[in-house]
Amino acid sequence: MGKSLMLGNEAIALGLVEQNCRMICAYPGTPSSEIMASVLQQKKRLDCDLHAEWSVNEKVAFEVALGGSWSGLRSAAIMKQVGLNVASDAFFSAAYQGVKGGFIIIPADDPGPSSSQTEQDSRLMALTAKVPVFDPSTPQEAREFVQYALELSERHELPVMLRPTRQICHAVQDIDYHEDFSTEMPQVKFDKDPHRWAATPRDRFRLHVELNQKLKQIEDEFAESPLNYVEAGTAKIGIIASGMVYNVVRQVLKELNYDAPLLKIGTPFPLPQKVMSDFIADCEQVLVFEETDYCIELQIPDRRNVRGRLDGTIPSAGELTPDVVGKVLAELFSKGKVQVATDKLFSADSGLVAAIAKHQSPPRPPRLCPGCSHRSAFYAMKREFGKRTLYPGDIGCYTLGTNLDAVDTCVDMGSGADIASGFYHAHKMGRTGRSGGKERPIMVTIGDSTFLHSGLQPLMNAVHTDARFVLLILDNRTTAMTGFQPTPANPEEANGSPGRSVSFPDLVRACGVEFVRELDPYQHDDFRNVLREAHEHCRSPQGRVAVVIAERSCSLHEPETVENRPVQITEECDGCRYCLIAFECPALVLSTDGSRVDLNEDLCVDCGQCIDSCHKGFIIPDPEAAWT
Amino acid sequence: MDIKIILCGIGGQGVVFLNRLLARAAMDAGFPVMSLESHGMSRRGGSVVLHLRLGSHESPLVSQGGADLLLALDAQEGLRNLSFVKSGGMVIVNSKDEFPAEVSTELKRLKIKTHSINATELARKMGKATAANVILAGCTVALSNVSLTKEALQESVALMSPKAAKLNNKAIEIGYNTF
Ligand code: SF4
Ligand code: SF4
Repeated sequence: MGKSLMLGNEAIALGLVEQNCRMICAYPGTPSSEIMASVLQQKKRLDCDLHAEWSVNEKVAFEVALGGSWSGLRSAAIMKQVGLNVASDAFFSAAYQGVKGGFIIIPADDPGPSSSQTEQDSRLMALTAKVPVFDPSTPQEAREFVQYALELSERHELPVMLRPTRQICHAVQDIDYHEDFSTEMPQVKFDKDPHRWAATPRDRFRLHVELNQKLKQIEDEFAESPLNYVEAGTAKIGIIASGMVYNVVRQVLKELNYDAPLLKIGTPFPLPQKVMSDFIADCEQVLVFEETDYCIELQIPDRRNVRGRLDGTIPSAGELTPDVVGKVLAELFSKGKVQVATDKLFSADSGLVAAIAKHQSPPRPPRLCPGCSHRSAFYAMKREFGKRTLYPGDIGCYTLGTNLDAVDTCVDMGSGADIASGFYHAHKMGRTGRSGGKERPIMVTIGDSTFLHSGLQPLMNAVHTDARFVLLILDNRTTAMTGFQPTPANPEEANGSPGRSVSFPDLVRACGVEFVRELDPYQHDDFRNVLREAHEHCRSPQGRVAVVIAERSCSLHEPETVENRPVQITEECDGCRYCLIAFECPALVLSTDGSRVDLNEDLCVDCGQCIDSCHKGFIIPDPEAAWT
Repeated sequence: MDIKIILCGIGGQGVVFLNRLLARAAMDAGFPVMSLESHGMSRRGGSVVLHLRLGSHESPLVSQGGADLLLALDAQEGLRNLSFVKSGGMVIVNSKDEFPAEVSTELKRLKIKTHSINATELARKMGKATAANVILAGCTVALSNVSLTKEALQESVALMSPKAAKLNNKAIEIGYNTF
């Protein structure tokens, strides 16, 4: 027993391990990634017999974990919120079929959003799929809710969702820690029941009816649950809140010195209607604070006295920070002629803000790391193909190719090659039609992990429909963006034990691609030549989609693989900024007076890649160093 | 103690370590701790802002004009986040320069105390440029009203990274003794 500082994600992992969860599958994605990382650490430290894997994508993670549950094991599937979209086919079906061993799905939501393509609310996905949801407000609660969720899941043989937001995943709290939990292996057995596990549409109607009955029972249980409770207050305006916003609301009420009754909801679906109607009946008006959408508010049948994100009283997008909550409440209270000291609260001093604005530099956008091989690949591609070329991109560190104008589109995981096919077929028609457009090369970039996640089907489709483009697989041998998780192309599994690796060239050839080259994007001239050849092949009459695999380890993950090639910027540098814009290495900086570009020695990793980015030859190998 | 802190800097400067160090020392001293970190995209050289609350398990999120203390590992990022500091609060910034005069005037009017320290330079002289974050932790216990001692900080840092204990101890000393 002791205390430990834990991220919400680590607290969730602790919850899973101490609740004897034996099968844990995940696909990395911010803000969920540290859950699995922490499970793996605990597995190692406690030497537990549990199956933990970084699956190839979220659908696979969900289904493998489901197989574990159907065999009687407590199981979990972990992903970020948009990953649930990928897993949703299985998610919806599993709600009907149910589970055996407790089954918990953990999609981490990202109000803001800080690193996602949408702000979608997984609780609404659960509502549509008819899966119960737990919504924790602190790391400690997240850990405890794992237990509630698994027990509920087992009692009703139903998948259950634990929905943390980024504000929970990346919150840090001191947590009581002990290691005396049960580690007994449950009986593993799959009981055949084809009307359930292989249910046909005829069975599905019955399963749907059963699911509705289960939800009714669960709603009754939730009405009695200690996870939903009222904190009494004397004011006439009542507040309902869940998740991190609950803490924010409490804090704001305290600072406004306003004693409002507060209903905390830990189980937003199915919403315990009795608890809700009792609370609402006691208040003149009720405000619902929740992230990211309106799961609770939507389920309240009579909303005449209810205000929230749905009716616009609370902004309908974005994180509910103390500033936002404070403004909403202050405005509401002042309408009700309640005296609150709002002028100084939740806002910065305007004089200070004005002074800051005059001197502030633009916010620092994320950039590819110094030495990143993606930059070299992008740079070569841009030099060879220029501005007219279409550059569909994908999701990973390399989405930052936007900084180099080398990524024109980004939709979702694996979309790049599909957008490319669409572009190709559309532009081809445009060319033969009256508009008479000119042929535009198409170069797609996708990372190794994303390609394995969902890039293969788009490639097959492109080969089959004879779309012509160059697909550049940026293989840096890891899932860099989310913290270096291995992919199936790596020679080891999640826990470090050896695993079979899939081969990109073999995969690609099996899809019918004939032009396949692997090479190091650090070899600037060779790389450009191969890209040109690839393009020529793909646009020749007998050609097809061409694939180039840019192979080089992530320089942040494996800095030792970066050759030692220190550079110098000569006295002649005239500060034209070409290298800053076209190569965009964070270690190249404009001098304070703007007269030249300097090296930031603290950031530079001596990769020597920027040499090609000065046409005038002012970036040279450091004469004092021996290049490897 | 119930102190709200904003920590900011650039990805790669060790803002998260600084956050953990202060949180850890507070926890070891028996205080409840809540923080909101940022992980993911931001580590690629982007702006990083963390919220830390020492002495309470309530919301870790600090509002504009709500922070008792701003710790900035980068001057530009410090400037960007100054509006978090409440009147009467404090700023400790890793910088060789002062804030622009106009900004300083406003800070004075709001009775916000500002301390600049060239921690990167001091750390470089010490032999490890990246220890600027730990130097700032030393400044924090010396200057602010966090109920933590220099010794407590040193014990906690040793528990966090035993290998770098000696260096970090020195960094804390330097930060502590600069003011
Ligand atoms: S983490 Fe690796 S892949 Fe990502 S930007 Fe840095 S070097 Fe490139
Ligand atoms: S050598 Fe050039 S490209 Fe490589 S890290 Fe240093 S400045 Fe950046």
